[in-house]
Amino acid sequence: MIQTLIHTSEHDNSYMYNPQFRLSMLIHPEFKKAYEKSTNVNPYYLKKYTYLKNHGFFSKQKPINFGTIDESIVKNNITQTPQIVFETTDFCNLDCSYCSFGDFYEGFDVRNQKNINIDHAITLLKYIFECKHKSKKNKLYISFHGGEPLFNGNFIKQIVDIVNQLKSEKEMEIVYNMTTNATLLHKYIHFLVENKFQLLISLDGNESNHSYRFFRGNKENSFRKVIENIDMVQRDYPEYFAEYVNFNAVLHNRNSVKDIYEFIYSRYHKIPRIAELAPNDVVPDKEVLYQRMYHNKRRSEAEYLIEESNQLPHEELLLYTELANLLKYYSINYYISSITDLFPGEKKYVPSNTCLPFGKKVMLTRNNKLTLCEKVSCYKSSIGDVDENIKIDIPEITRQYNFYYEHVKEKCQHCYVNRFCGICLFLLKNNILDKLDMEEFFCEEFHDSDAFQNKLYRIISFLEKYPKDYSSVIENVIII
Amino acid sequence: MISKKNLTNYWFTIEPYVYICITDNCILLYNTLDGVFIESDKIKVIELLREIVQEENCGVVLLTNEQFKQKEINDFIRELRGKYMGDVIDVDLSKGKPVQLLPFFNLSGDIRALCKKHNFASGKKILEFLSEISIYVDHSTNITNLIPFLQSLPGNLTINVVGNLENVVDYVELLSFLDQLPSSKNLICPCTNVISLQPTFENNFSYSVLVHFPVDMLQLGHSRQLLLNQTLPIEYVFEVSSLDDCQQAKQLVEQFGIEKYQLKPIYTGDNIDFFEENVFLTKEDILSTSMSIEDFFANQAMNIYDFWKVNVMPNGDIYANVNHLALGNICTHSIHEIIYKEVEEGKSWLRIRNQAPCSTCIYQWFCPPPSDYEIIIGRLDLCHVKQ
Ligand code: SF4
Ligand code: SF4
Repeated sequence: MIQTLIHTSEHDNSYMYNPQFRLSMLIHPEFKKAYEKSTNVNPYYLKKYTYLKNHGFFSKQKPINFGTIDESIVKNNITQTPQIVFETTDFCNLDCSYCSFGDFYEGFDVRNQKNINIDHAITLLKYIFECKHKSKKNKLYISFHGGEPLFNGNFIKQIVDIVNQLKSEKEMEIVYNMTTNATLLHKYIHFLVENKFQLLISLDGNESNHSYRFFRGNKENSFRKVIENIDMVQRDYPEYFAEYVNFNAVLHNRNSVKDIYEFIYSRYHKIPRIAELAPNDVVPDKEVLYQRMYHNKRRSEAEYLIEESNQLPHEELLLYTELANLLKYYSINYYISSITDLFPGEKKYVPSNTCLPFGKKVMLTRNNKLTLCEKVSCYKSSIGDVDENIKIDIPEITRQYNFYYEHVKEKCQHCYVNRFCGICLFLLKNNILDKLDMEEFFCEEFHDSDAFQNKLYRIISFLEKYPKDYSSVIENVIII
Repeated sequence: MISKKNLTNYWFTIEPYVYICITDNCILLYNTLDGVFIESDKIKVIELLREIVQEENCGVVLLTNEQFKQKEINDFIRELRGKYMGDVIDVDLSKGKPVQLLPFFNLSGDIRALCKKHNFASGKKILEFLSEISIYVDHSTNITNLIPFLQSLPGNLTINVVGNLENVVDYVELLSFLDQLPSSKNLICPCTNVISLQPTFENNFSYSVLVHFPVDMLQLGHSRQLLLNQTLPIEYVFEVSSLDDCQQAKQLVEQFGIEKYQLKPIYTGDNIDFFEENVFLTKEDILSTSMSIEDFFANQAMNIYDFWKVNVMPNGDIYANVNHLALGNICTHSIHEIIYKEVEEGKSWLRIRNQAPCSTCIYQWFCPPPSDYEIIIGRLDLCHVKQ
């Protein structure tokens, strides 16, 4: 049962947290004793305890109201889809050891050097544009994913042409973006600059850090080619580079947060995104190898933080993000980012943080399937098909989601982070969604009172060190 | 020998369920758990409170032993602790400064701007911000334009239809369309214009019957009978402009056995005395209304009367509040554009009590946001509080 918790901090201060009011409160150690029903308690704090008890602080918490979705939500999402992702091709000239198409992972379509179908992509584009209302305020992201998307550069050029025609009718702003291994940048850079493509370049650090990213044919590390191209962009298109180029690194046993930062920041003055190896869908007999390559980001970051000369920007720290989430979702100030919660009537939530179809994006695969996003294997998240027409079975999608919600809500009901947990059900390990009707839902991020106390300890200790973060997070960190 | 106890410094904090208001020469602390408050005009107390709301202090300040012993401060802290609105903790009890997560409105100036930034950033689902639409109808209402517009709105809005429906060409078609929607639909009209809906239109309709003074008793009786023959929820709204009207309304309530009703004061231009006596707030009214953290938050962020609502006139013009300029027209603007325009440029949804004289008043965020009365009467302080 979810209830009011007492926790401490590194400074040995005591706090109380009430989940229902989302209220954290500094308390006197004597109050803690009163709460713990110790003997010899200062009578003032006994009275204060009774006062707060009478005002509902220690009553049984009202369970969170988990609801379901209806078809109108899915329909509405389709008209408001903010992003279309094209799986441009499954081919890649690199053969990275941890690629989702490699033999590490299962569930993604087998790589067979196939490009996306341009006609079907156009059908999808027209469909989405048709749904959009005319407004200069509308923004649509169009993303190219792979394999290496630049292996199908023709497709990208054709899509940009079509979009340029379609967008003027609706007066929309279009933002193109692409994740690339940078080995083919020299061939397309002029086109990319001209269309202001936001580039996310995969780079794992220095040459040895980058050594899991080797060429398919000769198995040579791609580092030199990648650097040559990035340097070229920085040299020849400095303004574009400054505004539109960013980096993404995978953390593994050949690099560390420190390596990645020091290389990318000192060479390009960019703050890289760092991702751990994806834990879901690992082929069972690769689990040992996976464990060997896996490198925990929190630990690696903490090791780097100990060094005084570390270049980690404060706002990039995991703890800063945790603090931001706590303040936005679990503190008394949650209204600031959710004024609809002030709407009269009881607020309904759906369990977990799994995106609703079309809620954030839709992806068209090279096999003509519509899926949730590039991170989730398509067999799990297929939400439609495209040929000359778009086929989206809205009642079935709605039913499927409500089936998931129905089966996970029991567990989530007892989880302390159930108002916002950041969990995508599709990305949980061991294909849990496939077994929901047979097994009890297991979530590795489930927070019982101990786990939540630890979380509060961590975050409040961080805030005690950096008290100014409180207002800077609330004022500046926008959660979309 | 001086005992250690006498040298103790303290961490001083205010509880997070307390609303803090500081003006130039006084402070007001309000306990949202029980409505108890503390007022003080002591300079030292005001200074201490000013310090606690500094962003870098994160809700906790150091109170030296010397400060603690000053009478003004000591009395204040005694009162504060007595009302469970704050506390002092001996600094020796821990290894470093604690924090207190106060509601952000206690710290920063512009909650409204923050809300706007966080809630209306591009990518947010803007239609979530709509909950009610009022459609004003008369003979010029064009159903052919209206219905497609209504179809573009999210499901589950509350829909009010205001005016004489029978004047609308093809009003039956409009009713058939509304009947199919799952939303609740409220027909708002004078008792002279009540029409019979059932058994044809059954789904989620209700009636708000407007009663003007002097009352046409024959019409009132006739419409009452018509409504009682149906099973729809009914509310009567008596539009009163004097005490006599109020008394008469009460008699009518008894005479007709009316269960649900409200008295709605109407400003006629020459009944300000009636408003001063019956509508204007006194300090006691203000402080006796129980206020939650959410209420303080809402009063600083938005106009709860107008927010989430739009009005469509018979000619298709759309307003957030009919006393301000139109935002567009159903034939030329989508609902998205209308909402964006209201948030960006509008004066209704985000109209709060941030202008003189309220902006310097200690009760600024206790008072509900400005309603239509403030616009019609032309002043913001419909109260008896002396500045
Ligand atoms: S962390 Fe897991 S158990 Fe907890 S709310 Fe999220 S999905 Fe449910
Ligand atoms: S001056 Fe304004 S804020 Fe103050 S009591 Fe009057 S109406 Fe309320």
